[in-house]
Amino acid sequence: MFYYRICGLAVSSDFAIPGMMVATEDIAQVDVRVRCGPTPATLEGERRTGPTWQAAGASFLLQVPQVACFLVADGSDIVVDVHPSSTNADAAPFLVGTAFGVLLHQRGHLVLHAATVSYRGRGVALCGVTGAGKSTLAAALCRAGCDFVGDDVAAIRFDDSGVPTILPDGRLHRLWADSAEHLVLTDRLGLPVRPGIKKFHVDPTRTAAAGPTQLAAIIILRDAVPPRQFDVTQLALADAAALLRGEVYRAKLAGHLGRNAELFRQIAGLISRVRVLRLDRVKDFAMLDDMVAAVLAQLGEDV
Amino acid sequence: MSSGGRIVWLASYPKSGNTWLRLLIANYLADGCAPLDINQIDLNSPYPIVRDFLEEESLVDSGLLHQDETNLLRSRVTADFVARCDILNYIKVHDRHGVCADGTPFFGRGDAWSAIYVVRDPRDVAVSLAFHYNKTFDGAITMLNNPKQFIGGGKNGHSKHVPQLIGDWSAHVASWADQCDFPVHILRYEDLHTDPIAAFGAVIDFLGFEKRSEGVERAVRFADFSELQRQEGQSGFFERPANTTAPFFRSGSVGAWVEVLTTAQSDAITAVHRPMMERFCYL
Repeated sequence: MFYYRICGLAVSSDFAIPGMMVATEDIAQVDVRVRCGPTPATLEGERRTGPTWQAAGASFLLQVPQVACFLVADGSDIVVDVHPSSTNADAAPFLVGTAFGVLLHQRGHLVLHAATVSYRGRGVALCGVTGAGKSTLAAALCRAGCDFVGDDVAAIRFDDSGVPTILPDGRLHRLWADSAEHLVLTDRLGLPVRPGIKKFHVDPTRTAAAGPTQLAAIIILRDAVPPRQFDVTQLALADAAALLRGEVYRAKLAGHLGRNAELFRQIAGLISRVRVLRLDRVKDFAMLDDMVAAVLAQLGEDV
Repeated sequence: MSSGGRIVWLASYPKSGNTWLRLLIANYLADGCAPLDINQIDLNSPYPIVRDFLEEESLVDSGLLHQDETNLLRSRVTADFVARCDILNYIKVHDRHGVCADGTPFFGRGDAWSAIYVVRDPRDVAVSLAFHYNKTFDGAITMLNNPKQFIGGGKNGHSKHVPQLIGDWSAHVASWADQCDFPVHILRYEDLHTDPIAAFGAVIDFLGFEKRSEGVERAVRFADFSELQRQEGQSGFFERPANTTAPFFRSGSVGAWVEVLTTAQSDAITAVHRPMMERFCYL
């Protein structure tokens, strides 16, 4: 059995999950069990469906064509049914991605699609769609003195006094080969995220402490329209609330899972406690250092 | 649940007149009194090669998929989309048609599906490809003759679009013209150029619309190449690649290859594509 700590949850798995940091502490109670086994073709009961997924009650079924099916239930169990032509290593990125993200939704968390770092002990979430450059910016910020927290999923928890916190998502950096090369991290390159894909797990140079980090700022990444290169602007509360709903991990699905009202409340609680910035920028490695400097200058004001 | 919509694939090898066809259809449907803005062509349908769209619908990160899995995912997402909507969708596509890894047709089968395939003399396609992709003519010919040619995808999965296998020109034409999965209307670019009213009128007939002659005439006028060039000159065109200085609507002429390709270059095309070129009266 393999043990991991993902977004604060103790996870046991039948198989090794490449690129995930193995839990170093003794785990007395497991929160989430990942096991191999058969999954049904369809879920029973009233269902919401998409081209590759079904949701019914507390169960969710994801079918990644020719790779694996994932049954996620009750916020605590994930069954992985690997396609005969595939392997556990092929299934792993979809397990820790969508399947685990759905599980976090089932548990009622506010889950942002974000890489996270810590700057002077305060958390910063970098939100954006897949391919927006979250991981590259996070790695560049770590090179400039931030500590790495998470690569792709930020499950935000509010402590007893309503302070939002983030925890490591258990991943290493995940970078395309050219990003790792530009950031001079090729000597820290690990296994590919999936066999045959040129995106790699990369060991972070600096890592934040394992415990909760207070979230102080959220940066939403957007493409700049040339000739503008980059621009950091602080968002008004109403704009921040509207944009953040779109940055929820698997945002549309979260609505299908009946989470709209709860997410609205959670986001309202969040924006009263953190600064929300919008970073419009052209994706160009040559601009990265200037962009990092501009982001740090903004964060330095009160983080 | 709706009774289901339909998809008309607007298919072609790149730089064969696909955008012109879309502008003709958009202007016909808009039935307005002025040409549509070329940067606001609203055919009201998704573009299923966009990674964001695929991921939002399927919850699967297409950057983590191999090519055969990506195609299967696209096929499932479009089949699901067409089953849920109740409108006629016109969707541009440059892929070669074929079957997915599970044996199902890549672009559907049955009543919900049809295609208009635009075919153009590959020698003119080569010239247009060279300007569009900022390649030499020899580079464009290599593309045209490459059975494993891809477009999109970008380096290291950064692109907004998934990679699309277009293959070589002859195999591309055959994959659409000779398939039996759904009805296809073949539109020769040259016919559209020579007699746009008749050629586009035939497209309207194929789509099953009651033909409005004045609508066809107006769409042809509003999507005339000079109008498209005028608009691009004024406000640019969003589909023009960033790495080239040539306008998207550059020439649009028929037979321009004679002026620019060497005999060796045109021979390199005909040597590979002669049977298909003869079939479509290019030789």
